[in-house]
Amino acid sequence: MLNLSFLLIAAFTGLFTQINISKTENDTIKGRFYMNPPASYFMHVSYPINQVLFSKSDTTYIYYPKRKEGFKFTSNYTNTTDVSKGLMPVFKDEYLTKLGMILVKSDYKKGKLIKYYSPSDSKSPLKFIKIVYKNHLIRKIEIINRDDKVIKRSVYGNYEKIDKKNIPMSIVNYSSTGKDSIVSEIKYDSLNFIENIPDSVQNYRIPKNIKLKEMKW
Amino acid sequence: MALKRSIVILLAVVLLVTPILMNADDSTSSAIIAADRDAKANTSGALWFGAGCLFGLLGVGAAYIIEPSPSAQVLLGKSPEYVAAYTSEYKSIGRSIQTKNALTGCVVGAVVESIVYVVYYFVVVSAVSSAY
Repeated sequence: MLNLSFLLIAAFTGLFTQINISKTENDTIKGRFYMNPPASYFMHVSYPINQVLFSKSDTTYIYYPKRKEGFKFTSNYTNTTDVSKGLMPVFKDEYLTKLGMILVKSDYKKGKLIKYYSPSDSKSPLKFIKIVYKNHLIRKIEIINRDDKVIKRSVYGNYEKIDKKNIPMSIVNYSSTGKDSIVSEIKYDSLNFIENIPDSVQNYRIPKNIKLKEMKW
Repeated sequence: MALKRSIVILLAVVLLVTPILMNADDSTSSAIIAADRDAKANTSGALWFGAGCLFGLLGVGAAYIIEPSPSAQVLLGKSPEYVAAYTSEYKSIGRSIQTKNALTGCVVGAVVESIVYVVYYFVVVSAVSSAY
């Protein structure tokens, strides 16, 4: 997974509600998130369970303050969530070029600009990333594999102007996972840009007496 | 009378505890189903088949050693039991898919290599014998 957060200028925070729907499970998750470029995020889930999820460079922590237990995952990359990374393309659409994607085609149909990006690496399982714009705003992003199958589709809506930036307050993600498909809808609320992440979040520490279960990702 | 009271208390405890145990089991079983589904969707069989083909047993070894990693996204709002069960199952299924595909690639690679070698050998032999 790629870390796109370096493209953001300011830190931001907001409330989120994520609704996941699949054949096997339906759940609603609520909480607050902080995104602090270049590489860290902090999420406090308040429903259905009290959970803190945050990253520090290549380490992801999941902690349950009430149950006083948690996990420490180390990996070679920043493992982030749709809630925080979902907003990234909106800030700067040229981010794909910076990540080695090449603009191969663009069409204009019925008031919609459609751009197709392909990875410069020919071995990549991705064929295209298709971005649909309407009135200069991203409306849809599709990830298409070599079999011309859409493996993930994100639909952006309910744009609001926050600090002179157009931000979608709703993102619906459709993912195809074999025979099943997952739909997750993320709704943002009270989203705002902040100069600095609060100290309580920036310096959040899991109590030393808590023994975390360590896993390699 | 005392025996009857003990049985009643025991039944009451069982009735109270069962839903809690059932919920824990539910959380674990749904984690296993989701991890199974996600690992199958996210693990690239073709990539590991190619690794087995190109690097032979080294590719198979790498497929066994390198553990696939789940996304943090799927663990958001989940209980510790779910996180533990999901992570463990995801790694296990992912590694099994990787190893199986790398092994198939390794066997196919070896067979193709042998055929190419045999064909090459006979071409050389026939060329040499026809030269004499």
